[in-house]
Amino acid sequence: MTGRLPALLDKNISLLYLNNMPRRAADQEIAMKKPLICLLAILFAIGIQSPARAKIRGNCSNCHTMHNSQGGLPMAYEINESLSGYTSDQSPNPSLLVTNCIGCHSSTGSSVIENGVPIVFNMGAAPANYLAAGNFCWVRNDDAKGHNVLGISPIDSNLTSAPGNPWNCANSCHISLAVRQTAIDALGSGCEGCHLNVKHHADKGTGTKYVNAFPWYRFLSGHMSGENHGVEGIEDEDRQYTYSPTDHNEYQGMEGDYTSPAGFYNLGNTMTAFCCGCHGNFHIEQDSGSWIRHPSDASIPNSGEYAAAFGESHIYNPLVPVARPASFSWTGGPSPTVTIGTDMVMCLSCHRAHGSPYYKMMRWDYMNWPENGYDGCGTCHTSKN
Amino acid sequence: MKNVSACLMTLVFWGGALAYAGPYLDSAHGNSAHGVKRTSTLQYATGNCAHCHEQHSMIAGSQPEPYGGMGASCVFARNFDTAATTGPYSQDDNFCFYCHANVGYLQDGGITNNEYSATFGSYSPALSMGILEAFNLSSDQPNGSYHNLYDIRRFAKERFDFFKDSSNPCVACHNPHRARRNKAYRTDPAYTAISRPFDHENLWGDSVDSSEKMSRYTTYLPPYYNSTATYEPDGSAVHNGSSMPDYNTFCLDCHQYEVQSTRTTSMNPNTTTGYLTAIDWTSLGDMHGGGSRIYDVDGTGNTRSGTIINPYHDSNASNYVLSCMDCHEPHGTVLVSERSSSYLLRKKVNNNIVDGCGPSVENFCEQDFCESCHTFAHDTCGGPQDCFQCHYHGACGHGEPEWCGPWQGPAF
Repeated sequence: MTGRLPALLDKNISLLYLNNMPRRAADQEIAMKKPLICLLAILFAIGIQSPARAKIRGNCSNCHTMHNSQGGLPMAYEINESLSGYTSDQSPNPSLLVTNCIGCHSSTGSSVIENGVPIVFNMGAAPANYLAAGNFCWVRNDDAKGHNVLGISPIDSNLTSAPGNPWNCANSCHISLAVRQTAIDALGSGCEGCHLNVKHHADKGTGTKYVNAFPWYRFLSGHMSGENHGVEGIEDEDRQYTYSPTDHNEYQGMEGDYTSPAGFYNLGNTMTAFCCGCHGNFHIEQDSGSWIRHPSDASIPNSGEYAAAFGESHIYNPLVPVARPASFSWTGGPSPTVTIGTDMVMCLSCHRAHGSPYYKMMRWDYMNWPENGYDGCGTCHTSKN
Repeated sequence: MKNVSACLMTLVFWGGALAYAGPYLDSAHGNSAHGVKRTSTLQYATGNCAHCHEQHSMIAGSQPEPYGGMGASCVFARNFDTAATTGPYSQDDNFCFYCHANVGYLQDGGITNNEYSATFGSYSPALSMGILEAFNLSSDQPNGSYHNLYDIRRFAKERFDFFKDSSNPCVACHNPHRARRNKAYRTDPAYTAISRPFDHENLWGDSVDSSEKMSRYTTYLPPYYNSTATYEPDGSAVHNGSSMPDYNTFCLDCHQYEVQSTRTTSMNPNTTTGYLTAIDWTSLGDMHGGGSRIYDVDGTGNTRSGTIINPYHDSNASNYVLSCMDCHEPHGTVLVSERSSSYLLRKKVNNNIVDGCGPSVENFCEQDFCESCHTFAHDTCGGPQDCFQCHYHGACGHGEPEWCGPWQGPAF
């Protein structure tokens, strides 16, 4: 138990603090608030029963502070500049939050779920088994291993804009998620550049569930031409902390026009459409019928080498996820098989959205194959192994 | 329970990675020691897909060299410039030339590809160091000869299902994900670099038995290789064709048909104008193929005396079936004829270096070429530069006006 907010929520927080004596100044500040924290934790523990809930429950003060002050000290905190721990934040946060997205969804340890809170940025050791979208721990030291996001990593040293960005929108998230955007006042920055409408109070149900309406799958939605659109899919209860052919996310896909940029406006409520919000030119994939970029949201042909994709039995491989068409049985839960001919290769078939240990946020060590690494491509390109 | 499943899945994935090495890894391009390695994408391992394919037309925000756009199948440049109807070719005419060239190559360390006559026929020093250069050995000459890529593409598109409008003409003969380094393993046709266009997904020549090798022709004998005791393709004493793919079957996938030609005019008057002659290598066709010879190896009974020279004379077989590659280059030839083409003929044949025979034909004498295997003792025709006037694929002594010989039957 090393994350700040998760620590606050822990049922045994008093014992925790005895066993983990605070070493940093910020921790010392927190330690001074121990009696209150213990009380809050106990109150929260009464309310929390499930390790993963879409709707935040518990005492408001777990996440909010009315005056950012308790005993003359600030309640708010944030990740410190060295990205090694937390520090007090004298400035109140919007919505009276005690911290920002990263403050809550980070950890100084290597766990990726702490008291039900998904951890996407481990400041300590890299997690051995990360969540479906990966982790931001690697991009901290290598621009090529994750999305550069405000508060975690500076602007990418290799990129002047999101690669494949079709939009000429200065100072926006389409240019970089690592700086505070000033293009549209109503929108957030950093994490909120993608998770546009974070609604922790929304009741989306519990457990593994199909999400097809606001606030959308993992709060991923659009604006402007993508207004009132978002990603549809099945959210795995533990975000694929555990995974198997029957235990995974599902993403909606849609075969569209491969000769122009894409987004929600022309590719429906799909994950690929969402990615295309910043990387839309990558969806210009065909020229005179030939693939000049790798297909995304294109069905895996039931012919040639692709007919044997995912093995003879076409068992779903969480390492190489596919998108499902609208006709998929969305209310039936995750499917353990891939339907060749209709299921689609998509952005996330190869990449992890937050980051990975591998070059270009790949889901496997593509760069070092075939000398070393792994041939994830061979999952579909079965004759290219 | 979920953790157990996760562990099992992980084991399955890693197990698959460790245990499975397929045909691409066995290929020249996928070889982790000699495979593809583009100088502008050195961060990727040797043999990695990214050296040829750019999945998003850029890496790290820009397109690595070369900067010319994209080709079909996400290759890093245009597959083939269809405006290149004739040679000489430039590097950007064909995607493969970006690495298979001796100058300006993008393959880290470069690739040496000598012409067939040098690699498998002992000609030295080699005339070309890269495939691009091999195509261009004489392509700047009006009558130069090279395997016209535009013609290949045009034919393959009509004939072979796998070949698409956007396909690279080289893939008509080579599957880049299968082709192996025959040049480095000349003794072993399992390292063949070719795939039949009718069977693109498989290599040709790598059969365990003789079914895909020249040894399937019981009367095939490889030519000499740099001595009168060693033979093509590897300079060994093996003399039965078991060391080389069955090039005849391979070439005839196309050349059993008339093939439209942009430049070359066929010598055969029966061939459709603008096309190459359809080659009949069966027992009903050319003597150099399955057709029976008329006279014995000493030319007994022929009023025009001449013999067949070794290694064929002493074997004294009733018939020989030659390999296409015994006489022809696959990519281009340095020989330049006075005719419309020099027909991709080799500079060195049966250990004989083909030279010129006088002014205007200084590097290619037809008589010298034929004398690689035959002695010559008839003067009915116009001279040392006129052999092909009568002897060409499909030439037949049936009394046609074009025919010079007195006999009935094949004249080639």
